[in-house]
Amino acid sequence: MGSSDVVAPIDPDELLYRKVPASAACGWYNPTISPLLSPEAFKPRPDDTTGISLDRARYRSIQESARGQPGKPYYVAVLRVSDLLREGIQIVPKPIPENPGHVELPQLTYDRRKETDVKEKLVVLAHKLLVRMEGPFPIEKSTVSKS
Amino acid sequence: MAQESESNPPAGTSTAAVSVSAPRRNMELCLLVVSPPENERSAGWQSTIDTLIEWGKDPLRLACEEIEVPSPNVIAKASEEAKSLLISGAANPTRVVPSSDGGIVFEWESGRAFLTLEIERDEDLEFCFYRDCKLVQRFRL
Repeated sequence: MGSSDVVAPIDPDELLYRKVPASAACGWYNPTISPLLSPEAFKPRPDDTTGISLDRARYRSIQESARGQPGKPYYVAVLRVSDLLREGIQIVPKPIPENPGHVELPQLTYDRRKETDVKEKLVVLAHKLLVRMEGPFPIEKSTVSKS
Repeated sequence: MAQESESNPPAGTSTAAVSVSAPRRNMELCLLVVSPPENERSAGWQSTIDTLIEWGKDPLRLACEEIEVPSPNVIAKASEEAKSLLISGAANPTRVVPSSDGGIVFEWESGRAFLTLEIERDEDLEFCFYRDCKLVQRFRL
């Protein structure tokens, strides 16, 4: 992103994307078992020191948001900004050069992952606010290793 | 408000004849409430135990950038808990999943209720009971 680029303010009607591993072993989302997403999909990881990451649909396609570790399939959880704000979940734009639509949820950090309000927000995100799941998106041909 | 420590069982129940801890007994009572018919329950637990056995043979099958692979001790602890809950009559979980930080989580979904038992990376156990996404009971085992 160039220095002259301006990231638009977040609109309540915008959609947000969260990448979710789709491997059978992971099982955070398996529609044959349950339509609900596991709250683990939103749990802060050790590197989430300032909040978990999501993408703004305004700046990224679902397919772009689904890109992760080479050779691994992913779902994408779709959420609506206004729903998060209504539940008191803050959203902060954190544009980075390769992703101007990068945002963080600053209340959901690794250090606070065991706090009651954080645990409740993870369940709210997964069970109450999820708009839909997209995918799974296949492994990109260019990333599949040749044997 | 979530309860963070010792928690009494629901009214009308007694812990006098049991040797398990109060939090564990409370968890088992919660899981009896949502329990399906016995044949489904046993098959469900067996499927869960089989999954944990597979993870124990090859933990790296869980490996991806979003997940810290649980240690063999954590997987063994989860298997031990699964067998114990099967024997106690508890409902089988809706699913068992790796947590993002080296643990394993059993999840139960039943109407407005959502229950979790997490075997954390340090092998500590925590049980949580949510109703309508609110954490109404929480205790360490």
